[in-house]
Amino acid sequence: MKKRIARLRERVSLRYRKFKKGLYLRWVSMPTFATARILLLALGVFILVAMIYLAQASNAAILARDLRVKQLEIQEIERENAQLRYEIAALASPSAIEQRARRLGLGPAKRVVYAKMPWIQPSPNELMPAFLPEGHVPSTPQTFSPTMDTLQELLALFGLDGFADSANAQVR
Amino acid sequence: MSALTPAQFARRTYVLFTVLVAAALVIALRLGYWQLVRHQDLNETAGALRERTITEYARRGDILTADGILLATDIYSYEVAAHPNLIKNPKEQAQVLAPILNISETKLVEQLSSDASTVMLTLDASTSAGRELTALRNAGTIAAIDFVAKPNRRYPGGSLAAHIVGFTSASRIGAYGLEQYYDDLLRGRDGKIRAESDALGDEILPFDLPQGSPAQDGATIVLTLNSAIQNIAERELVNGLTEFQAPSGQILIMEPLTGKILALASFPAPDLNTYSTTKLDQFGNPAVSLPYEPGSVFKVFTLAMGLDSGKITPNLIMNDPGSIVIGGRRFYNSDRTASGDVDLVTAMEKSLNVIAAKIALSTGPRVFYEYLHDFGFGSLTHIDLAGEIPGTVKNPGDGVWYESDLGTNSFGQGIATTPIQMATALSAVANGGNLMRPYIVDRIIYPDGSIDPRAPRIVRRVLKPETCQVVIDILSRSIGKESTNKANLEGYKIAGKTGTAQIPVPGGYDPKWTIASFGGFLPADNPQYVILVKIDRPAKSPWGSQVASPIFANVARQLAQLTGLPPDSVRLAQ
Repeated sequence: MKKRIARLRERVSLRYRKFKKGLYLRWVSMPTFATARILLLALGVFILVAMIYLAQASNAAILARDLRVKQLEIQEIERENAQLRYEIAALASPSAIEQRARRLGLGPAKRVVYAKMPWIQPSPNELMPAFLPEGHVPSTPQTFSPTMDTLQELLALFGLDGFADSANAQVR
Repeated sequence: MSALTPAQFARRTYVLFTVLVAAALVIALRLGYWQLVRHQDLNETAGALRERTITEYARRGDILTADGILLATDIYSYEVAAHPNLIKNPKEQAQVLAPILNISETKLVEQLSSDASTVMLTLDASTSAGRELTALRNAGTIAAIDFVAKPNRRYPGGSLAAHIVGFTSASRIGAYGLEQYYDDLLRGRDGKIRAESDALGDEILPFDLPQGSPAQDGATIVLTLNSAIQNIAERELVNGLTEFQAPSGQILIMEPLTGKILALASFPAPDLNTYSTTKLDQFGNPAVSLPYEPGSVFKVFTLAMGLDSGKITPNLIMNDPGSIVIGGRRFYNSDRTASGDVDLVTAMEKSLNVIAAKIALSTGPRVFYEYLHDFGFGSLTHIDLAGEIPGTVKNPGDGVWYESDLGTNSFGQGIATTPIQMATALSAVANGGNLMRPYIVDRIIYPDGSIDPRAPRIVRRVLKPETCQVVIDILSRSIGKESTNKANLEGYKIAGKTGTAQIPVPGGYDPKWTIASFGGFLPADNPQYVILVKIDRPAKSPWGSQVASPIFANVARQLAQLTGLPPDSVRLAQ
């Protein structure tokens, strides 16, 4: 039994020494030029892939940042726009316009004069159908051909007969 | 020192390798612990330190009139706060900030030098100030200054259509009018953006798109209201109230064919921009939420009921003995006189209560109240305004109705209506018999550009078209005959009816005050506008014909001018 154990130990010891020697030889042996070339190539490929990836990621990040900057600028402009819209609306409100008009001496019309102008006929689309009697068919539009008489009629309507005469005189 | 043998070198290399591998293993295990076991915990802690959630306020939708005048909109102001405990150069920062924030430099230095962690500098910095602050922060001139844009509701027209618009409170909740009725649509939804901040808590621009849910702006509401018509109504109402020394009143202008509200003026009218200092009772819209007894304007409906049901005919001559007893109660004409035999035109011209009661009697309570409900009295019109009430109508068989109520109701007493109900019912007469659902929102424009148009809606047919023609003719002739009625408009034939209603008080009616009103159509042959004028407690004269009629005429004249409605002679000659 003791002999068998001793033999086994011897075999294990021998195998261990062989293994250690093999490792050492591998460790101390220099790589060949071919192996180094392959390793360098692999390293180069790795670096290239990494650079491409980083460049893409960097570009995406810069674009995202630019986009955010633009978004914030748009927000700022929209806010200023809202302020301006408000100011315009305040100035354009009917009461504000009325106040300014009254300061200029204007006011609601006290009298409205409707002049008959047969040479101007609105197109059927321009007429407000709601204001026309039922079944009314507008007449065909005529060509606008104002004469001195019609001008005189118009001016007379507004009490400017004298002006019409002088205008006539000038034309003649 | 002797050189190492290859065997010694190899042994030591193995030892070093083993140590390094063991160390790497320890580091890997530790990394695994932090990355896998404590991942969530650490991630949250780190996030809390470098990230913050910014509320992106949704822009509340605009409210516009049909002609594009802005009635309500959002403008932005900045809330600016500082963190003095993180500021190392308060004087320099104060010097830069003072002119931008319009705060004295001394005060700013004091605020920025305090021991507090946060100090609010202003709640109302302008948008241009916000832009300057952004530039200064990006340039690194200011630090530890927070500024957040916050929308504020503003009303460019001030008190224009104030009762229709309502207001939005500081907490961005709509109150009264359209702001309340369409609050969900107008409000939109605030967004939450996760942003990174630096050591001073200032927002830094991330190298990534911001995460979170963006704000969704509210929808824009376009009204049927015309700003110029509204302005006419408001101006003439104020002028009328001043002239007749009345504290309050309403003018309502409606398009009878569609039910569109063109103007709805109420006074007193609050300035919506100063809502926080105005009494809340001024914001309720009396046109939809304040009931009143309409008085003789109601006779239009009694007349229409009688004609439509066939109980009376257009040429009927009725006898007015001066009083009539219904349900044991005697009713008189307002002047307590008898007119004898009269036609319907004269009955309307003289506004005879006795004739109105006789017509109601001829129709009978069942028919009378059926028509009354068909006209929409006692129920909501469902106009899109907050706070509408249905008014009160007593009905046969409900325990509080007496036979005498038929008499009082026939001339517009003992019944509570709202101006919007009256205008809607008058529109039914004016448009040929259809009760329209009144509406004030023409369309809703959503932020994605889609449009939800609102179309006119017929609720029911109340009268036959031929009945309406007869009623309008009778009203038109009665107004024309009435020399004292100031509603008559030169160049235009109008139809309408005055009302002088007593005001109910506990135990009866107020002995002094009345509600003077006039409801009319223009032009009579083809009504385009229904105008209701209601003046509460006029001191100068109690009568509708003296108080409300001239206001009606003033409004109608300007309305015709504005809309280009030619006088009858011009229009009918076309």
